[in-house]
Amino acid sequence: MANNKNKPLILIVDDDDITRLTLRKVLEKETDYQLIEARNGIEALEQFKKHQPDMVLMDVMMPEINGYEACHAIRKISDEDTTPIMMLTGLNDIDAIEQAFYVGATDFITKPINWPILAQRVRYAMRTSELYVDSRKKQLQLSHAQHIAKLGYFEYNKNTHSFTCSEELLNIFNIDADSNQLSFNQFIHAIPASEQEYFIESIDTAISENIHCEFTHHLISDTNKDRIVKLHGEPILDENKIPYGIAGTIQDITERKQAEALIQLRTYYDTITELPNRFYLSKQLGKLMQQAETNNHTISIILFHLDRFREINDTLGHRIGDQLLRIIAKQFSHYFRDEAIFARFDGATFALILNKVRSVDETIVIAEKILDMLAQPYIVHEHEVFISGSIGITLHPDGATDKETLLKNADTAMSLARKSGGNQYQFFSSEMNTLAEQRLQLETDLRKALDRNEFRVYYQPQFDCQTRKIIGMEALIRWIHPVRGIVSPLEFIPIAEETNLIMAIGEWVMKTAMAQTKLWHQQGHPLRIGVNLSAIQFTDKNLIANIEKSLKETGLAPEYLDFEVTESIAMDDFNTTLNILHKIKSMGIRISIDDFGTGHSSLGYLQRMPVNTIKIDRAFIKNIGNGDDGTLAKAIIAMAHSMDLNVIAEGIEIENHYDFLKLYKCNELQGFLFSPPLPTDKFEAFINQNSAA
Amino acid sequence: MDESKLMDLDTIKYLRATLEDDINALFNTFITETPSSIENLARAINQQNILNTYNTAHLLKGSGGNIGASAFANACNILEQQSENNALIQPEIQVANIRQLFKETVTYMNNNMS
Repeated sequence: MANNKNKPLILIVDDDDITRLTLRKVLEKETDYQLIEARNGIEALEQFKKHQPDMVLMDVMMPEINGYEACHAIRKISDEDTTPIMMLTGLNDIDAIEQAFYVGATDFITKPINWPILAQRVRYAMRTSELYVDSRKKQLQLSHAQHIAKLGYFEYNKNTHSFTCSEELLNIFNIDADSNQLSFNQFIHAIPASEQEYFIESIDTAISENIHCEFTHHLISDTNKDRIVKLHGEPILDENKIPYGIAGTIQDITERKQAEALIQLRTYYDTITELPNRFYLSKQLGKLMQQAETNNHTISIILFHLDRFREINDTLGHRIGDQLLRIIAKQFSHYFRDEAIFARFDGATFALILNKVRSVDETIVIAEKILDMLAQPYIVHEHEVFISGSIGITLHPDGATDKETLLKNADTAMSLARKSGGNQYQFFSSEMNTLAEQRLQLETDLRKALDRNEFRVYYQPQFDCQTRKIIGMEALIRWIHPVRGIVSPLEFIPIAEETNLIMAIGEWVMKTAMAQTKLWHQQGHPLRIGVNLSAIQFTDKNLIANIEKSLKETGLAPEYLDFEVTESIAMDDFNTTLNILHKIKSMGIRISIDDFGTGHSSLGYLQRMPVNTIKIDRAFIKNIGNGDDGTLAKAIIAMAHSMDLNVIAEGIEIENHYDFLKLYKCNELQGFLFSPPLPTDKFEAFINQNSAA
Repeated sequence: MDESKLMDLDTIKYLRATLEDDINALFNTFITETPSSIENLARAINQQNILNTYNTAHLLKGSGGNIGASAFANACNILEQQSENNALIQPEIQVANIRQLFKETVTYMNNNMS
C-alpha cells in the first residue's frame, strides 16, 4: 500500500463542492484515513500520480474528462496497480455501473449517498484491496518460488480429459506460455514411449484406487530430451468423495540428478584413473564379505603398490606419474574386468578383490600375473618407465571379522613385501598382525619418549690408529623404554624418520652431546664429538639455525663438532643438500660420510661434497683376517687419501683388524675392541682412565 | 411544505449526529453556492442550451440529495431527466419551483443550525 507509512490516503474526486465537502467531513469523522481532493478528472489524474493514494472515490459526471475516462487513464498508468476505485453513480443506473466496471472500477456507490453506510463501504473496499494485494504478492512469491524450484502444477480430469497447468509447467515442457496451452496428449507424448505405459498406469491407479502417486520420468522433445522430472499426484474427489482426476506437481530435477551423479562420481571414483576409489571398495567389500559368509565361499583381497613410484614422480614429474597410473588403471581394469572389483586404493596402491576364489593357488596365479604385467616397461609420454609391484594378500574368511581389519591386514602384508625389497607378494599372517600392532604401540610410545626423558646419549670412543690414543667419540642414542628396556635404534629410528619425530629427537641428541662434550673440554679432555644427522633432518628449514643456536648455547667450538651423514642424503635434491653442507662447513664444523660403501652415491657426488672424513662401514672390516683379504677396505683408504680425506674404520672387533688398518694407514678406529658405546658416567670414567694411562 | 417532505430527515439526523457543529459548514456552503447554480440553470433554459441545463440540473440534484434537501433534489432530477430526453415541459415554471424549494430549504437550514 502506497501510504502505509502513515494512514491510508483517499482521493475524493467530484465537481460538486458540497458533495466533496460532505464526503470529506463524513470520512474525517467516521474513519482514520487521510483525504485529498480533486474537482475533475484531470486534477484526479495529477493527484493520483503525485500521491499514489490507497483508494479513489470518483464521481462519474464531471466537466473536462468524466469519471470513466479518468478511471481508465488511472488504470493505464500501471498494469500492476490495484488501487480500489469506487465510482459514485446514480441509483439504479445499470448502464453507468457496467461502464464503470468496464473501465476498471472496483466498486460503486449510488447517489444520493447513503451516508451511514459510506464509511463501512470504504473500509470494506480498503480491506478487500489489502487482501487482494497481499494475495497477489503471495501468488507472485509462490510463482517465483515455483520458477526457482522448477515446480509446475497440473490438474487432469479423467472424465472430460481436460488438462490445466501452471505457467511453470509450460516452462518445464518448454512451451511458450503466451501462445500455447499444454494438452493431456502433449503431456503424455512428451514422455519417452518406454515410460508412457507406466506413467498412464500410475495415474489411472492413483485415480481408481484413490491413492497418492509419485515417480520420476524423463521428458523428450527437441529441447527437452535430457530432462528428468519428478511427479507427485493426489486424486481429486467429487462431492461424493469419488476420485475423478488427479492434481499434482511436476518438478524438473535434472540439475539435482546431475549433481547427485557428480557427487556419486566424486565420492566413489578416483578423479585421476576414473577407477572406483577406496570408499567404494570399502562399501562393496562389506557386501562381498557378507555374501562370502552366507554362501560359504572365499574372497581374496589383493593390494599392490607400485615400487619406486615416488621416484618417478620426483624425477619425471607428476604429469608422468599420473599418466602412468591411468595406463595401469586401464590395462588392469580391462584384464581383470571379470573380477569383483578393481580400484585405486591410495596413492600408488591399487586393490583387486577376487570373488568366489576356489584355492589359494588361484590367488597366487593372479598375484604373479600382476608382477608379470608390471614388469613390462611402460611408455609414458615418450618416457620408458620401469616399475615393479609389492603385493599384499589376505583372504576372507580368515580371521578378520570386519572390512577395516581385512584391508589393514592386506596393507600390512603389502608393507612387508615393500620392506623385503618389492617385486614380490606376501600373504598376511597373524604373526604379521602382531608385529604391526607392536610397531603401532612403539610409535605411540616414541611420541611420548622425549617428554618422559626416556632417551639417553651413549658415547663410543674413537682412537688414533697410530698412537691408539682417544681423540673423539660418536654420540649414539639409546631409548630406555619403561617396559621393554633398551630399544635398538635400528627398531625405532626408521619409525622416528617416518613420523618426522627424528627432527625433535635429532635436535635433542645434538644439544645434549654438544653440552656434554663442552663439559669434558672443561675437565681437560679436548675431544671431538660425532653426531649423526638423518637425511630427514636435511628437509628441516630450521636445521642451520638450530645448529647455530646449539653452538651458542653450549659454547662448544665448532671444530670439535663432526656431523655424520649417510650417502643417502645425496639421493634427494642433491643441490639443496650440498648447499646445507657448505653452510655447515663454513661454520667450521667437520663433516663425515657414515657407513661409506653401503649406499648408492657416486664418486662424482662425493667429490663435490665438502667432506672431511669417510667412515668405512663395518661390513668391509668384519671378515678381515677371516677369509677376506681386505681388498675393498684398502681401496677405500687409498681412494680417501687420494682425495685428501681422513678415514675412520668402524667395527674394529679384534686385533687383526687393528693390525691390518694400521698397516694400511687408516687414520682412526672405532669398535668393540676398544670400547662399546658407554653411558655418560662410564664414558667419563673411561676417558679419565685413558688419559691417566 | 412539511419538513418531512422538504428534507430527508434521516440523512439530516445522521449528518448532525456525526458531524455535530460541522453540519453548519455544509449548510452554509449549500446556501452560498447554490444560488449561482440556479441562475446558471435559468440561463441555460432561457438560452435553450439543453446540455448545460442537463449538467446543471444533475449538479444541483447531486448536491441537494447528498445534503438531505430531498424535495429540492427531486425537482432538479425531473428537470435533469427531461433535458436528458430533450423534452422540457414548462422549464421556467420548474425553475421557479426549484427557487421556491431552495428558499424553503434555506429557511429550514437556518432554523436548524446550531
